[in-house]
Amino acid sequence: MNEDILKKRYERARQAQLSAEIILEQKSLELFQRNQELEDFKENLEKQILERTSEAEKAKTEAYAANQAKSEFLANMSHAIRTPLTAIIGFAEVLLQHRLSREESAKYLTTIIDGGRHLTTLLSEILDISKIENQKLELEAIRFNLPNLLQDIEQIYLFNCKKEQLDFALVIDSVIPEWIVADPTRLKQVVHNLLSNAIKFTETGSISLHVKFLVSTGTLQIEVIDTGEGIAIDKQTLIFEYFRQADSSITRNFGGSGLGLFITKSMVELMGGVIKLKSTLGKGSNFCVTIVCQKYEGECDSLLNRAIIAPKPLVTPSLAGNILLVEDTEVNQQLITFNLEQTGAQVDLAVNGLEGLQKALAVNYDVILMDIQMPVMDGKEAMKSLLQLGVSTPTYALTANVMPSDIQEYAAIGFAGALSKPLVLENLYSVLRQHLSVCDDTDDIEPQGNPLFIPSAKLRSLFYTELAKQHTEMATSIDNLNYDNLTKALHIMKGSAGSFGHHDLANLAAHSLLLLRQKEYIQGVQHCTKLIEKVAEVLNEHNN
Amino acid sequence: MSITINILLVDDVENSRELLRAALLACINEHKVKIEANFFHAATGESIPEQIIQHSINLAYLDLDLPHTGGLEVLKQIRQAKIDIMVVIVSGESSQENVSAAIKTGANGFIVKPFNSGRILDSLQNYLKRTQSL
Repeated sequence: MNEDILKKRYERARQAQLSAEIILEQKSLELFQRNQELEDFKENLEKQILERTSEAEKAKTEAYAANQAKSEFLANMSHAIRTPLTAIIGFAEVLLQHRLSREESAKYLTTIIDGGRHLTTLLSEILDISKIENQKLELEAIRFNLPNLLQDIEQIYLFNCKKEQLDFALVIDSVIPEWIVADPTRLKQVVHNLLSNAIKFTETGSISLHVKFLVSTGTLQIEVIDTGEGIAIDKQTLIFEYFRQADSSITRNFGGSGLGLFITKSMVELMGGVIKLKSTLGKGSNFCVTIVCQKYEGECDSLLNRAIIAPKPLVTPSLAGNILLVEDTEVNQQLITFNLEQTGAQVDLAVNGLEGLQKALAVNYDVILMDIQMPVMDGKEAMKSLLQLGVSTPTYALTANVMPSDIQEYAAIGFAGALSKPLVLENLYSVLRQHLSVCDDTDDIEPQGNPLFIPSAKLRSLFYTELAKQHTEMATSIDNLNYDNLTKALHIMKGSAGSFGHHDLANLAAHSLLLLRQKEYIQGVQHCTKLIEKVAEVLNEHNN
Repeated sequence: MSITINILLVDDVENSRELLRAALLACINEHKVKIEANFFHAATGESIPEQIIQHSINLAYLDLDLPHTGGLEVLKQIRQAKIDIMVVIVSGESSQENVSAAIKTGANGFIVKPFNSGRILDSLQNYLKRTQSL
C-alpha cells in the first residue's frame, strides 16, 4: 500500500519533472530566439545609425559644396558686375571733369554704353538662372518662320565675325521646314549663346552654323562649329555646370559670367532637346543641339534665293504731338525724355502715378508712357484710376517685367501695350508713330522743295537773313558741343533751303541731321562743317 | 435712331454751367450718334439726389467747390442713395487730394477747368458705352 503510494508519487514527480524540463527547454529556446532577435535588432540599429550618419555626412558635404558654390557665384558675380560698373563710372567721371576732343568723348561714351549693355545681359542671365532653378522658366509655342530667324542670326554674325576678322557661314544641310512651332526667343538665345561663345574662343579661322532637319523624327539639328582653341576632354562636362568654366582664369581673360552654357543646356533640355559637345584641344569645338518640333509645315531648300535685306538703320521719326512720361527714376526720365524729344514731340513729365493721373486729367495727351513700379501710386493703380475716370488716352506700360503673364495682366488692367526696359528705340518709335502725327518720315534724306511754291522777293531776303543767323548758330553750337541747338538749326535749314533753290544745302542738312540722330556725332559734325562752308559761299554770293 | 440724355450741371457760377453746356453741345453735335440732350441746372449742392430722381437724370457734372455742400459730399449722398448714374467731377484744380478723393468716392470722371475737350468727349463716350453695355 505504502509502496503503491510511493510509486505513484514518484511517477507524478517524474512526470512533473519531465514537463518542467520540456517547459524549461521551450523557454530557453524562446529566450535564445529573443536574444537572437535582440542581437539582430541591435546590429540593424547600428547599421542604420551608420547609414544615417554617412547620409548626414554626405548632406553636410553637399550643403557645404552648395554653399561654397553660392559663395563662389557671388564672388564671381560681384566681379562680373564691378568690372563694367568701374568702366561706366570711371569714364563718365572723366567726361564730366575734362574737356575732351569729340573723338575721345565718342570713344569713352561707346565704352560706357558697352558696359551698360554688358550689365543688362548679365542681369537677364542671372534672372534666367533663378527661373531655371525655381522651375519657373516659361516656354512659348509660337509658329514662326525658321529661314527668317536663321537669316536674322546670319546678319548679326556676319557682322560680328567680320569685326573679329573671322569667317562666318550659315550652312543649310538639308531641306528645312519654312514654319515650325517652338519658342523662337529661346531658340535664338541658344544659338546666340553658342555663336558668341565660339567667337570668344576663336582667335583665327572660321565659325559656321549648320542646320539640318530630319523629317522622319521631326528633329531640328543645329551645330555651331569653330576652329578655336577647343576644350580638354576632362573639362567637357564641367563647362555645362553653372559658374564653371574650363579654367577659372577664363572669366578674367575672356569675360563672360560662366552662366551662358549652363543656361543654354537648361533651355535646350526644357525644349525637350539634347546638347552635345565634340572638341579637340587646339583644333576647335562642335556644339550640337537637337530639338524635336511637334509641328512644322512648308519647305525651304536653301536660303540662296532669298532677298538679302540690309538691316535698316534706325531713323528717328519726325513727330508732332504731346506725350506724358510717368517715371520716377531720374536717369530714365532724362534718357527717355531725350529720345522722345528727338522726334520733335512735346514731352511732359510726372514723377509718380498720382501726378501722372493729375496731368492726364488736365491735358489732352496723344499717348501716355507709364512706369509700373513707382512711389505714391504705382503704374497699375494709376491705370485703373484712369479707366475709372474714363480717360481714353492710350497708355503703355514701361516695365522690366515682360513675361507673357505680365503682359496679359497689363492688358487686362487696360494698358494699350507694354514696352520693355531698357527701351528698344525701334519699339518705342513704332508705338509713337501709331498715336502721334508723322511729319516727314520718308523724305528725311532727300527733301525737295515744293515746286509749286515760288517765293517772293521779300521772302527771299528774309530767307537769307535767317540763313545767316543759322550759319552763326551752327558754328557756335559746334564750338559749344550744343547738339540741341545744332539740330534745331539743321532742321530749319533742311525745311527751308530747298524751297529757295538750295537743294544741296537742304540735302547736306538732312544728312547731318540723320547722322546726329543716329548718334554718329563725329561724322555728323564733319558734315555740318562742310555745310557751314557751303552756307558761307551761298551768303557771299547773295551779298555780292 | 437717337439717344436722349438728361444732363444735370451743378455749379454755383452760371458762366461755368453755360460754358460746360456749350462744350458738351459741341461734342454732341459732332458725334456720329444722334443725341438729344436736355440740360438741367443747379446752383447749389442741396437736394441733388431728389432732383436726379425728379428729372430722370442720366449724367451729372458736379463742381467740387460748391458753397455749403461740396461736390464730393453730393457724390457721397448720390452713392448712399444707391442712385446708379454717371457722375463726373468738375474742378478748378486736379490736386492729388481732390483726384484721390474723387476716385475713392466713386466718381466716373474728372474734368479740370479750363475745360479740355478731350475729357468732355471722354465723359460722353463713357456714358454711351455704359448704356450700350447695360
